[in-house]
Amino acid sequence: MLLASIEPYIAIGATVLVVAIIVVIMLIIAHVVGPKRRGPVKDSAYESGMPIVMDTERRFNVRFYVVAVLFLLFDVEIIFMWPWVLSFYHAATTGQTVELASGELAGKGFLLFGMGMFFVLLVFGLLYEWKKGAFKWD
Amino acid sequence: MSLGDYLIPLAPEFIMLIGACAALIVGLTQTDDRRQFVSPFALLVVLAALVATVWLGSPTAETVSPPGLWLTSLTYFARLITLVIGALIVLVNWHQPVAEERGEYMAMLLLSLLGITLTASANDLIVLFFAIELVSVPTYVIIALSRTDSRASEAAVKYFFLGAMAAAILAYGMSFLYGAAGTTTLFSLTGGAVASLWQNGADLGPQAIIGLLLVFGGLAFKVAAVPFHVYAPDVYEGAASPVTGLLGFVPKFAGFLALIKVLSALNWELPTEVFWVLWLMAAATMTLGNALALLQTSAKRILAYSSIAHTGYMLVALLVGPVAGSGPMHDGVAALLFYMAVYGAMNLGAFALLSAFRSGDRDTETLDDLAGLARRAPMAALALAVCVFSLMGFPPTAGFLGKLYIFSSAFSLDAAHPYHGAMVALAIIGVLNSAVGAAYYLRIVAAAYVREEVQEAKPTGGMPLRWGLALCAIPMLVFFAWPSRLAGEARDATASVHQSIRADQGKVTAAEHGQADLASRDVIGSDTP
Amino acid sequence: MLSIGLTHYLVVAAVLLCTGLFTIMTKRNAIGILIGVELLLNAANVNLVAFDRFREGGLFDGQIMALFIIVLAAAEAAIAVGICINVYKNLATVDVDSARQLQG
Repeated sequence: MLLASIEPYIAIGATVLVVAIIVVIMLIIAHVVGPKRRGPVKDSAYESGMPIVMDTERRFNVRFYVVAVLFLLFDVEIIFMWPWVLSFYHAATTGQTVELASGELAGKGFLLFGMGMFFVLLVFGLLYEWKKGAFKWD
Repeated sequence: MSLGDYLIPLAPEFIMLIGACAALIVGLTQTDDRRQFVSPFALLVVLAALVATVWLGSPTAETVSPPGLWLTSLTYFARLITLVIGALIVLVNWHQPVAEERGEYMAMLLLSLLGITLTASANDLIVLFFAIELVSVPTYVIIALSRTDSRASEAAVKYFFLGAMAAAILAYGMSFLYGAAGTTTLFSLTGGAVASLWQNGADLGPQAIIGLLLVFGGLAFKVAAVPFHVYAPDVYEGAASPVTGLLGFVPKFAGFLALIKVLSALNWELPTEVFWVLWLMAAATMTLGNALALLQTSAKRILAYSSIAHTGYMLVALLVGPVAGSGPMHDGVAALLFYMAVYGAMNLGAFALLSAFRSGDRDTETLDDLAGLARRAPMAALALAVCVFSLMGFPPTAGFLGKLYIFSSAFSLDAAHPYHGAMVALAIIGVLNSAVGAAYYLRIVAAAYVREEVQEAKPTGGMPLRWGLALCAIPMLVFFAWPSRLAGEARDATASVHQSIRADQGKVTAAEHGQADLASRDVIGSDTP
Repeated sequence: MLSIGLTHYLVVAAVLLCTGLFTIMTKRNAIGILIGVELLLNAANVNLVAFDRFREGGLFDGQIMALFIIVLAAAEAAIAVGICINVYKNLATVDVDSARQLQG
């Protein structure tokens, strides 16, 4: 019973196992056979590239985070518009109504009003950020 | 049907939304004397929404509910209580954050209140979830803004991360409810809603039970029930006192409204395992909250643990449910709603007093800071005593009636009720806990009235804060003398819970049986002298 | 032949949930904990979309809720960064273990 239920997964498990074994074998071969040359040049980040300018753990100006957050917020709002466009196109071209989750029917006027409200709030948020000075760099 | 039919019943919500946006704009002005208008403006918005609520009245059967919402008498009750206590919160927070951030602060407060009224009217898991998040997310910001020192930001970090985790757990649980029901609509007159899934009583299937337990876990965080209470004392202590008064009411009311919604979708017929989980949660919340409060020396932490204990009392009423008994309130949910309204004011009053004085160069927090208050400020001490006695559940206050309603609703359960013995045991635990609670509440009153002043304290805040304190304390006495109006509103709100239970079923529930019995008993009672 | 059913998606979601909880419990960096919270929210999303795909009849409620949760996750990330900047100003670190003034 148990065996039958896991049977389809045996192939997947075998594949994972084989991959793991091959990787380990290759690592061992590289370790045993491969030549070992060490030195300051060999250990540098870009062996034959540009010299290192500074540490990677450099602190960013906090404004980068503010800009990133503002971008993220307005960027994500677009996912509300995509399903709305499909519904509105359907309602506008066929003249039919769209069934809402509550079982009620909505015409294109209702859809337009809903997206209008959403847009007004978005634009208000943008204006607020602007007046608050969130877009000023210095 | 025109758009206006949909929008006018939501007038209070629109007033709060537009008011929140406008408060942001008012807060943006550069001059300080114009910024002073933010607090009066926020109060005006709350009062305007209150006027709109009263003008609209309780929704009737003809009221059009917008998609995803169901406007009922529960909505009406939630709007009234939220806006009245919201006005008190604005008064207590009048001078709260520094002037530059007051616009954002008041906007967040208004959005939080808006979230509560939406929770009360949600008829869809999506709306319910996001209404609760609309309550929670602004409170994270409010805590962070409340003080400029590191304790407030520590409290904000703790509250935010645990709150976000609880929200995610809630969403995960709701996904299972959706999976089990195939729809997110909670109640529908045409069937095919979450509520119709559970027509056959307790036989839910594993998916729905997992979902329910996760949903209760997520909501237990919002109401600060054991074992999801760990954040409460730290967060309550770290936030400024006026904000702590808000934190005791706003998320708790929203959490309990959501619990009422979910449980009425279940027709209040809990699966055995879910019932016992909630039973244990209620017992542990009362006991642990009171036991830990006894160990505290800071008045603020005592009140924080007492707020956990109060969650336990409210859970008792929630477990009784809308099954009518012969007690004075007839009904667990009505008792819960009554208690929530009273609790919001008395808790806010106690924290308002803490914010009305400064001890030396820091905020009033410990019992030592309160020592000698009665000699220094007799009126303020009297207000504190009224609020604390109300929290304790001592007779001449509304808190006593609240506790009486809750415990009597459990004691008066019909003997045929499947969990009759368990509920009576829980009510006895609750009564014992109330007695234990008196010990630490009396320490607060004793510090204010008996002890000598330890440290000089200066009055701070302004007239609005003092008005807020008075308006929290006076209703405690008024509602003790005339509870019928508030109790009547709470009972009307419960009618919608009965209605929502019936909506899908087409069968007479236990609740209705009880209601019918009760009606006949009432008539008999009025005939005999 | 193996066919992918509802259970497989639920298992993926449960694994995501556990990974998220583990991340929240072990990470000490505030941003690390935020990543854990996002994993939890995405576990809910996977569940919702899977239930939506395998439901019988009805509307696309699950997918709509998943969209809303994505936006909620973005809003929470914004608030988390705001609060972290606030903490950093006060404590000069985002290590949550250093936030331990409030205990008793």
